Parts: sequence; structure tokens; C-alpha cells
Amino acid sequence: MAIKDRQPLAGEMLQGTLDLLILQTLVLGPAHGHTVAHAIERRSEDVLQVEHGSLYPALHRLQVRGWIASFWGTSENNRRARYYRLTPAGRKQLAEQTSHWDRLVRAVNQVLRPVAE
Amino acid sequence: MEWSRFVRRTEWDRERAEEVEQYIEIETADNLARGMPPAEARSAARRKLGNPALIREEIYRMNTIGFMETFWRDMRYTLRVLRKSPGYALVAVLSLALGIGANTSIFSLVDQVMLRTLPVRDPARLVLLHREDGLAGTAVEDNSESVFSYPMYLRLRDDGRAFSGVIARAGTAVTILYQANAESAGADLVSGNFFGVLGVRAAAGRLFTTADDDAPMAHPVVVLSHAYWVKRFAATPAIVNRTVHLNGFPMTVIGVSAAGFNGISPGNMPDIYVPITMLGAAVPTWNALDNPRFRWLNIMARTSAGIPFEKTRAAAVAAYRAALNAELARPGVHASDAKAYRNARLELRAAAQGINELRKNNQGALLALSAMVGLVLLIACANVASLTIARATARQRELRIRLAIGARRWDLIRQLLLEGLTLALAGGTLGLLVADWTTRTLLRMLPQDLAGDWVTAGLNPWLLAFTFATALLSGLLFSLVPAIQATRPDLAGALRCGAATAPPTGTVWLRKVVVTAQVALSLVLVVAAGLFGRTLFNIARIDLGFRPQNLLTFKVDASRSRPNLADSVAYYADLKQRISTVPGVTGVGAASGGPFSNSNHSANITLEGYHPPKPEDEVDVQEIAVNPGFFAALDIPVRAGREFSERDGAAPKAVVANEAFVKRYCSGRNPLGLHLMFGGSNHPVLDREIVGVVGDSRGTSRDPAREALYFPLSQWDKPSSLMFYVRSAGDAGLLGPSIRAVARSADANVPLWEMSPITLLIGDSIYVERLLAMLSVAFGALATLLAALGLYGIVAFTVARRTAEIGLRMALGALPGDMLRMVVLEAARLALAGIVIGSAAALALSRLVESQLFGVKAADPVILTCAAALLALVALGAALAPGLRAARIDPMSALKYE
Repeated sequence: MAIKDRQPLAGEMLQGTLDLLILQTLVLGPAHGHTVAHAIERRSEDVLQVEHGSLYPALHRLQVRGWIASFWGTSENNRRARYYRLTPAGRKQLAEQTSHWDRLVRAVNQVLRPVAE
Repeated sequence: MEWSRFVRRTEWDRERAEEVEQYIEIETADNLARGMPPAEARSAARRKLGNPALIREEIYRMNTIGFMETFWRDMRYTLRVLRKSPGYALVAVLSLALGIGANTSIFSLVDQVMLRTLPVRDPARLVLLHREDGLAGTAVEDNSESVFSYPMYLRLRDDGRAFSGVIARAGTAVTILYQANAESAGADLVSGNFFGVLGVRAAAGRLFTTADDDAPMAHPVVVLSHAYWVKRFAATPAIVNRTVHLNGFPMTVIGVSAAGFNGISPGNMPDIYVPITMLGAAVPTWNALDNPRFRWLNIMARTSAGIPFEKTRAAAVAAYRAALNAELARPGVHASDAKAYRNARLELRAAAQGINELRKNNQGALLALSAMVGLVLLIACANVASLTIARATARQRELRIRLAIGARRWDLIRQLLLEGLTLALAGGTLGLLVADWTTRTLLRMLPQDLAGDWVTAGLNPWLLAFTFATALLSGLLFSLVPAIQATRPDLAGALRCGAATAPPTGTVWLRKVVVTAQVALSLVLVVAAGLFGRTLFNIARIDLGFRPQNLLTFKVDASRSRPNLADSVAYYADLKQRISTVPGVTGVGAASGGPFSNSNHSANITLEGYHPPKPEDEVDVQEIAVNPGFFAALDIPVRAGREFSERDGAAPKAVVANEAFVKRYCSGRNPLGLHLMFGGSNHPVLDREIVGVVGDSRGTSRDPAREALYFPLSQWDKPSSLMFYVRSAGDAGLLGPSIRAVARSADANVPLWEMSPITLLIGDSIYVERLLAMLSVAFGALATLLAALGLYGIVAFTVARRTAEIGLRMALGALPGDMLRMVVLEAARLALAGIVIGSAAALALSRLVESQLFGVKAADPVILTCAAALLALVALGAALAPGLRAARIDPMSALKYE
């Protein structure tokens, strides 16, 4: 029985990108949702302005796919918080997607800015 | 894993809710730290997050199984909708329950009679050996299939090339004496490997092995069938190793076969199994074991696993050919047989169902019944479809609104289909009850041996599967078209119309088609009822040629314990004498192969002065041995000459012919004094003289009297069982106990069996005709009623819809009579279309049941005309009430109503 993955908040293009960004953020170590959201926002120099809420469906999806795992921990200000960490499968996925992304960017760049004669 | 997501999603949702809460907490704390005022800090955090409900919903839906979700939602809605219209639901469920129940019931008969395989190991690998040649067989009792001699069986069994096992059987009847009580019992003479090859287990003791069957008369052992063990021996295990007397021979019971196994010839249930080598005990008047010209055994074989069928067949043919050649090489083979031997062919027939006599005898009737119940179900579906269309029309407002607020058409169709299927399943479930009742009623109409032994009421997984498959199919049938029709997109545009105004004409058109179909189907069933009713009428009042009232019959076979023919004949004469003294008895007849005895002896004769059209043709007649007084007891009129008397001894040899014989073979000559002989010869000795002519009498209701020659019992040479016909002054059934008492005093070890008034035998013999007639009449009546309701519904509906129009017409001067005519004519058009289509269908279909008819042609113009007239009348009646309502419409109020 197929289970539908719907993505009404993020567009087709953005979804894979968001996944990639989350995985990249978690390379540095386990983090909870709030941290991940702010990290993405900060590290993209505020270019990627997503609603922070849209992060949670993405986190859930990645977890179902087995690329990240979650556990309950304690936040900086001593609150119970859900932490996410990268799994080995996630690490592999990140490597693959990063190279795929690189190829894509190169290709798009070649179209937009052909090498000057 | 995916299903677990579906199950765990509630838990996940709680987690997610908590997580989102935390985000707001943390973000608010951060905002406060940045110096925002508390109220703003929290709302800024919320803005940053977005809509938490949407987030949760998105995650929730990620873990949804779409089809299940919608199904439950639709199902809840369906139940709510149906609860709101209980009348519709009730009528629909009831008509479907009747239709589906009738089908399940007939299917249970079809299943048991035609589809069931033998309860043995791997029945699909069983084949029956069938030969195609002119070689005559010798029937013991019931083997209508191909028969082979015992020497031939041994050759085929020992050849071993083709099969993993070869078994033989022949049915007969024997007398079983146990604890001073003699009864006639059905016996299967079987080969020693019979149970082993079939893979049948013992319920008690042990079954035969090849060691029980290795030499004639060497092993006096028997195996009981489970049913007989229960019936006669109260299922006591102590019977094993006890002795019973079989035709006077002491035999040891070695075991009981498994419950449910009733031999390999459904329709002939053996009570007891006897090794073939004990033939001398089972049929003492017969010595057939060594003789290759006595062909009397059915041979069945088990094919070897993994061998292609063609190879098996080739090997079997080779084995048969080799056996034939070996027989041909023996001295003394008749020249006429030698040619047949060389042309003989062997066929292998699938025998997973055994030698199915039941199927052979009932197939035609069951197929006709299946077709009729199928039509009944179609009519029921048409009725429900018609209701559903009407209801969809009434629900149009709801449907339009749902379409208008964004439902897809598929959503509505799915919803309507689900409603239909729900009703159909409810109908199917209730149908199981109907089926149970119907089957029990049907069983009461069947002859006792058929109903008790072979066909029972009761559910099995097959039957359940059939019922629900039928229900689903009916559900689709009656709801798909209305659903598609009712949700047509152009209806959405009609939203602006008021609820009370006219529904689109499309649905009316559809209902008219449905009603026309109903009339057509009903006509087919009414014609069937006419044909089968006429058949029963004809067959029940057929002149049998004798007077069946107050005539008690029973069977007796003295030859089982008196192999000497003269002893048997003396016993019969003594028995007759004793019965004659019973008060109330006015005549005693006895005959081999008389009316309704189910036995039939044919003979080839040579008649003085008669030459068959082709010299090789045989002059085939039925030969019947009778006692003096037979014709008087049965009231068979003597047309010329005399009947037999006590003075007809062993000589001179006298015969009495029936009128059919005289008509066919005497061609205008005076039959009295003609000479003839039984059999043929190059130098015929015409040793018998025709001394009398009697009227024709039928052996069964269906078959016309054959050419028959009667001769005195005292000149009989082939001992077999006799049927006695006892004429009484009053109720024949009351004589039973006294006759049994005098028979016991004549010889307690000779049982009488199948004692019954002949009227009951006659009744049982036409059960197929009775069943078909009663059911077709019931179905025809039901169908006509449903069609009448359908017709009434559509006409009443049209009148209601056209109230304003009719009012306007009347205001403009139309007369009430015109309105009545208009309405009735509309109904007449529908009925006429149905009658025309139905007549064509009836003509085409009735040809298929021609073989079931008696004394009436499939295309009987009177029956067809009557059926058409009946339906036309019914249609008129159905249209009259709404027509009168139309005629009484008050123009003023009709126009105001609008």
C-alpha cells in the first residue's frame, strides 16, 4: 500500500534542497529543530527564508527514510527537546546528493554563463 | 514497515505537537533575550514557525493510506444515508436476498451434483477407461459406463506401463443376514487394490489389499461403507471380525471405509464392498471370472505423477492392444468378435468425479434451473436499479451541491457504488438464510435416495464465495449505470433549478429501459413456466397402459440364495400364493423388467415371416418374464388370444406380444399362432408361439412402450430380481406389514426391498419435471410481480412529473379519457417492447431446454401467446391506477401547484 508523501509547503525544487540543507547541518553534530532552522537561515546568509514550521515535515520524512534518527535530550536552557542526528545511511545520502547538486549547479551555470571566448 | 507508520501515526502526531510547542518556547525565550516585550516575543515566534496545525496535518497525511481513509469516510456516510431511507434499503435488500438466495441454493445443488470431486487422494489423476467397439457388455446392476471382462482387467493391471494403479468395480445387490435379520444391500465388487490406489483410509479395522483378492472364493471378507456401518450396525467397532451372511455365505467384516467416501459412482451408493474374486457369493448364478466374453467391470486408473497425458494415453492404448491380441490368440474366439477386436479403441476419460450418474441424470434440469434463477436475479437487480435511479433523481440536489462545492465526479460515483455494494452485501448475507430455507424445501421435493445420500443442505467455503461474488456482481450491476447517469456533469449546471421541478429526462429514459428489460425477462420466465408446467401436466396424466392406483410394489431376488433356477421359480410361486391369501389383496403380478422396475432386458429374436430391412439388423425386443395373473393384476387389457395361466408349464413355449410389437413386426398379419425364437441362428428353430396380444404399457412415464414379448416365469432361463405388483381393494400402502409377514413365513432369509405404492415410484420418477414446473411457476410469478411493480413505478412517476402539463392540457380542453389513454398507451409501449424482445429471447432460450420437455414443443405458439397476453394484462393493470389518477387531475390545483 503506497503511502503518500505530499509536500504542499515546499515546492518540488525546494524539497530536495531543504533535505540536503538539513543533512548538511546535522553533519556538525546532533541538533534539535529550532537549532537546525536557525542554522540554515544563518548559514545561507538569510537568503533561504523558509517558514520554520516547514522544517518539521522534512525532518519527519528524513527520519522515516532512515537518514536521520531522533532521541529526546535536554536543550541549552534545560528543556526536554527532540534531537536529530545523522545516520550512516544519511551520511552516504548527503555525499551523493551533494555531488549531484554540484553537478546540477555546474550545469545550470554553464547554461547561464557560457565560458567567454 | 509502511503499515506500522499508519498504526504509529497518532503517537507521532503527539510527539510532533510537543516538538512544535518546544520550538515556540525556545524561540520566545530567544526573542525575550533579544529584548522584545513578552507578548510580542510569543507572537513573533508563532509567525516564524507558521501554522502548527498545517504542519501536523502534513505529517499526519504523510502516513496515510489514502484508500483506507476514504473508504472509512465513505462507509460512514453510506450507513448514514441508508439509515435515512430505510424503505429503499429494506426493499432493495429483500429483493436481492431473494434473488441471491435462490441462486446460492441452486448453485449448492449444481456444486454437489456436478462439480464435486471424489473424496480420494489426488482425484485429478484418476481416469476412466472407455472403449469404443461393438463388443456387447453384460450389466450386473448399474454400470452404464464402459465395461471390461475380468481377464482383461487382470492384463491391464499387470501390464503396469501406463498407470501407477488400475482398479475395477461393478455394482450389484446382495442379501445381508445379520442377527437373524435379512436385508437387501447395495454391494460394490472391487479389486483388492481398490482402496489402496484411491487412497481411502479405514474408519475401523482394515481395508482390502491385493492379498484379499488373489484367488476365486479364497477370501470371504467384506468391508462396510461408513454410512451402512452407522445405519445397520450403530457404528460399533465390535463389528470388525464378526461374521455376516452374504447371500447365505459367511463372510468376515474386516473393516469400515472412511466417512464421506461413498464409492466411485456418485448416484450408486454401495453399502458393502466385496472382493471381485468373491463373485460366486455375491452373484451365485453367475460364473464370469474366467470368461473374457463377460464384460461387466468398470476400470479406473491412476496416472503416474509427472508423466505427460499423451504418453500415458499411448501406453494405455498399447497395453489394451496387447491384451486384445492375447485374447484373440485364444482358441474359440467368435468370428463376429474378431473384427470388433481389431477395430477396438481405448479412450481415457477424466474421472475426478468418478462415474457420475447423478450428473448425467440431472445436468439438463440443473442447467435450466440455473438459467432461471439467473434471470430472477437479473430481474431483482433491475428492480433495485429502478429504485436506485428514482432515488438518485430525488437526491439530485444533494449530488449537485456536492459537485458544486468541489467533489470530483469519481467521488460521487464511488459513493453511490459503495451504497449499492453495501446493500448487495446485506442482501447476500440475508440471501444465505433464504438459500438455506430454499435448499431444504428443494430437498423435500427430491426422491429420498437422492436427497438423503448425495445432496444435503449446508454451507461450505465454496458456497460462501459464490454467494458473495454474486452479491458483489449484482451490486455493481444495479448501481453502476445509475451512478454514472446521476452524476453526469451537465446536471451540475441544473443547480439553479428548484427541487420540485422536473428531473432531467435521461433518468426517465434509463428507467424505461430497465422496465422494458424487466418485462422481457419476465416473459422468458413465464414462457418457461408454461413449458415446464405443460410438461409436468402431460407427463403426470400420461396413460401408462396399466392402472397405478392401489398397486403396491416390492422387489425380491430368490436367486441369491437359490442358484438353481427351478428353486427360485418355486419360491416365487409359493410367495405369490401366500400373498394372495392376505385379506384385501385382489391380484398379484410378478415380472422381471416390468413397469417402473428400473430394469430392462433386451433380446434379439427371429420371427416367422419377418425380414428386417437390412439383413444385419437385429430384431430387438424387450423380454419380460411374468407370472400368470400379471396382466390381470396390473389391469393391462388383453386385446386378442389369451393371457398366461397356471397351465403354462415348461412346455409348450408360449409368448404374449404387446401392441407395439404387433404393429412393428406383424405388419397386418394375424399375430396369433406366429412362431419365433429368442436369439438368431442360421438354422432357426422357431420354438415359441404367440398366444395372445396385450395393450402397451410404459416402463417409465417418459418413454413410450417398446416392442415387448412376455413369457411365463416357468419358462424363464435368466434368473434375476423380480418386481411384485400387488393389487389391493383399498389403500395399497396398508398391505405392507401383512405382506412382509407372509414373506417371512415363506423364507425369512429372502428380503423384500423397495416396498412402495407404485404411485410413489411414479411420482419420484418425474421429480425433475415436478421440480422444474414448480420452480419455474414460482419464478415466473415472482418475475411478473416485480415487473408489474416496476411498470407501476415508472408510470406513476411520469404522471406525477407531468401533473402540471396534464393540468394545462385539461384546462385547454382535453378530456379525462384522453389523459387515461395517454398514460396507458405509454405503459403499453414499454410493455410491448418488452414482450417483443422477450419473445425473441424466449424462442432462442427455450430451444436449450427442449430435452427437458415432454409433449410440448419448445416454440409452442399457444404458450408464447398466453405468456404475452398475461404480461400485457399485467402491464395494463399496472398502468390503470396512475392512468386514472391522471384522468382525475384537477386543472386548477395542478396549475397552482406549479
